[in-house]
Amino acid sequence: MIGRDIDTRAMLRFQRGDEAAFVELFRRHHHPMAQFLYRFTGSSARAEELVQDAFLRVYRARATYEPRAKWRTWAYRIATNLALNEVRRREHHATHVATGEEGEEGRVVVTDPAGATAEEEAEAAELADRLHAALDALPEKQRTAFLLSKVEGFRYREIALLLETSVPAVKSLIFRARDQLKEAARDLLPESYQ
Amino acid sequence: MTGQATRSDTVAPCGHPREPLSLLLDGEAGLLLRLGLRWRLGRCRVCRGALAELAAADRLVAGVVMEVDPEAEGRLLDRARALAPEATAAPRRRRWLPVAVPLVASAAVAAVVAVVGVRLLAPPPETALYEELPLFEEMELIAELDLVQHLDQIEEVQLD
Repeated sequence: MIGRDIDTRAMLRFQRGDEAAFVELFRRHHHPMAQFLYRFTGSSARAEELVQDAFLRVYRARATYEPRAKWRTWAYRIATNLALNEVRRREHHATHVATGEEGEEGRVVVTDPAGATAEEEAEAAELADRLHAALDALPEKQRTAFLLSKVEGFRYREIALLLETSVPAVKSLIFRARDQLKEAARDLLPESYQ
Repeated sequence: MTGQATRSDTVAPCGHPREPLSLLLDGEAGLLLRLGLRWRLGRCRVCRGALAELAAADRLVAGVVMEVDPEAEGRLLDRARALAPEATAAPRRRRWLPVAVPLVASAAVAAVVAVVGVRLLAPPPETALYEELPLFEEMELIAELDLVQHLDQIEEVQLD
């Protein structure tokens, strides 16, 4: 029933012993997964560690992997669970915002870094901190569904599968997350965004 | 966890529902809903404002990215090879398998063909007639028993 997408085929190649296929998967998903986890945890360093952990689990699951769903859905379930565990274990984001550690442990850039001044970068870092505070205030499921949709471009059907819930529930989760974040956006976005 | 949304949360001041606007932003609205929303947005300023506000949340999230570590790939592979040596080994290849499987399959097919062929071609076994022998023997035995059971009815023969 499930078409073999490029990632699933790569995973199956890896299962047959082709390690280059694993590297291919990592190269394709390292950046987007890191962005997802960065927004989830509020820490770029922690996001990198979680990407590593997620891919190590993929590596270990090589022998037992079965392509029941899209590889990406499977891999992001791993990443999401790791992120949720991280967030639950220690509320490090709140600590980082309070102590301003984020600027030291990871570099945040504006979306168009070309020509960005130091002042603009500082503003971007400030924006990132406040964005993470706003995201952190969302209930876990709302945050997860919204980020999977906005950062990763997951369809509602995939998110429902990943979160083990229904599509109408995902619609509601994302709407409510967006609705809550719009308050933060009103305060944070520059005039050009309004 | 997600809480219950009230009517005032989900309906814009103009009375139109706001949740479908979220679907429109995500490309999840079906054709009819999309057309209906376009029509509504073309006429309702409040809905246009609500859409802009919801879209601002998306821009907020999209506006910040992190730089990924260029050394991450090498580090991951080092960790993978170090922590899970059993996983790094490729599944054991059984080199005899590609030769053995067709051989065994051919032998099995040949055996089945031989057995079936022998049975089909062979004349009916003579033993078939003998198999009825026990039946005759049984009948004779029954007859003998019948004779024994009626011995008392046999008139005594007076021998001169």
